[in-house]
Amino acid sequence: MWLGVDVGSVSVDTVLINDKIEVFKSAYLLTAGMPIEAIKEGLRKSRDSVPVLGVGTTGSGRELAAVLTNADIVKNEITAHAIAAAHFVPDVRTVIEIGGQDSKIIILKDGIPVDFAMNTVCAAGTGSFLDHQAQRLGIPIEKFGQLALQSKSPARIAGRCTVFAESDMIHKQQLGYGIEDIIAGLCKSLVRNYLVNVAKGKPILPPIVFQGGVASNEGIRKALEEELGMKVFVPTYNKLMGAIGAAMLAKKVMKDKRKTSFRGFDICDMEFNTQSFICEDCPNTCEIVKISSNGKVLATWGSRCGKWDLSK
Amino acid sequence: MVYYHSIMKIGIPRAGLYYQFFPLWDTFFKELGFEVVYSPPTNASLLKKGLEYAHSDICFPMKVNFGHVYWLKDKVDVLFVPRFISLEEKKYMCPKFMGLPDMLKASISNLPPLLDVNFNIRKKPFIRSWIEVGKRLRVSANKVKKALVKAEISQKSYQWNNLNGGDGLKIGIVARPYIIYDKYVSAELIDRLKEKGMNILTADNLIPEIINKEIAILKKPIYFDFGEKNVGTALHFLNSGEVDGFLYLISFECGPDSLLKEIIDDRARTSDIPYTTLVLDEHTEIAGILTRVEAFLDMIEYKSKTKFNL
Ligand code: SF4
Ligand code: SF4
Repeated sequence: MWLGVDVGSVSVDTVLINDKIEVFKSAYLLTAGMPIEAIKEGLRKSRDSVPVLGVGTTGSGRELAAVLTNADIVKNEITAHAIAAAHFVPDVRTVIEIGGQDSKIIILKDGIPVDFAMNTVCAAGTGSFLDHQAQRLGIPIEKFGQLALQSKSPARIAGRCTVFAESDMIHKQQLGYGIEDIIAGLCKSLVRNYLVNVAKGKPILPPIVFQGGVASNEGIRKALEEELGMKVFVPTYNKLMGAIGAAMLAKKVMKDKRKTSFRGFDICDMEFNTQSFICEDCPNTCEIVKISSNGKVLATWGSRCGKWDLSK
Repeated sequence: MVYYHSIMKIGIPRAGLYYQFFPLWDTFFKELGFEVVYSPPTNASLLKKGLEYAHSDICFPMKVNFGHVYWLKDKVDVLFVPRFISLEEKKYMCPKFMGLPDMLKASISNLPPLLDVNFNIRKKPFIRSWIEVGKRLRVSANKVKKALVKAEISQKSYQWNNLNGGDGLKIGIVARPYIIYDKYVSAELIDRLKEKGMNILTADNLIPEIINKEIAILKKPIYFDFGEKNVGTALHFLNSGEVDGFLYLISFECGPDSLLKEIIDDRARTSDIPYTTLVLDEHTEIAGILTRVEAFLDMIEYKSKTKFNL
């Protein structure tokens, strides 16, 4: 079995895959600002007695996950997502990934990524936009998709940024629009935002794979299909694609390596301490984070110059 | 009246066109016998001052520039902040450069006198601008001319050497000089890539003929200084395959580059040279930049193998 860990800004996903890239065990957890606890919990849930032959980590917190697990490979989330998508849909041309706070587009040709883009500064095209609005409307996010599908005439909601979308939505509510029309409108506005901000200028060709947490939302999927005029395919493990990609990469590197460096599932019960301090050695005054366990420093990061980095 | 006191200190902000012309400027002022004081390479606390004093809606490199001026202001007798209007025939600098001296005077109090001489090749040759600089410093035109000859030699003979030797990947980087060569602004990109054994190629490593050849086939001339240089370099990278891939670094609020990017993107659609734009600003997280750079390097690697052989 190969273990993949994807640590994003909103969630931690862990997955165990077998030789045939079938998902054997998995977990999806909200980070809730405590990534270390979330990683440990995720591993606890995918813990198994079968031997782990390799570990890969990905996502914006991939370095942290790599330190905790002592991973065999650390890979950026763009490559990890592309690899997983190309496995499930070998002729995929476009990967649309919308997650909690990040979204990306990856263009593939003959099974390899040839172009990509990630959202830069704006959250309007990501899942947090929906979460925020769902909360405001008092509707559980899980019901969002179903409700959106019931709409006959979606409200037009300006979606250039979350602030505008919100005031526009309040206005539409006051005009008496039904809640399903407003929600469908929000889905459309998220999709338009994504297409304008993230996918801007990229050739979107079929087959299109739509993955990431937001792909579970049927309202968004429908809005995306309408906007593109094309079918999009949502893989079964849409939320886990990053972690699956990381596990696949671990499987690949272990071809040339005999033994995994994985610390073992015992890390679920280990205590990890993080400490931070400000380095005053130059005017950059970097905030350095130190991770240790049992009095042993496992990693430090945060310096601009690299002086506190431990050699791995 | 002439006072024979200590040597006059000229402050040069390590920002903006310093990154293109430092060999010339340094030699020029030193030849004339002045002491030159530079602000340190950009760092977080210097940038913080820049953010405090610059208008919030100007571009990141200009905010950096403000930070450097702030750092120097109480340490020198005059500040060299010319008004760059046009550096090439039929071209204009970005309006932010034209307005820089005024913006500084309006935002930062207690500035020393600024050497805010116009550099505008559309109106007068540079030599006349330098003579004016000399005049403000009470130096004769003759001395200025002599110093300038030496300064130009320094500039021409400066080696923009980013190659590692070795047979590592060749990566092109296209960006304005104050983005690419300012290590803080560019998240030490050149150093990071060189550490991995890669060779870096920038516009400064290409001979002008190569760039001009690419520009000649454009439908419309580009009116921005550095515009042709950057677009020409990018097109050369896309057309020649001299590099394994290239990165285009731009500042988030940069008007000129957002236009020029369209020309590059358009050509890139029909080229199979991997290319990615990195957008930088004061909120940029280094981690986010590195994620993109890694994915870009993966793209190059996979291209040479085709198909994830998993
Ligand atoms: S870690 Fe390095 S860059 Fe950061 S403050 Fe210390 S010496 Fe400066
Ligand atoms: S060209 Fe762009 S980056 Fe340079 S000063 Fe103008 S706006 Fe700023």
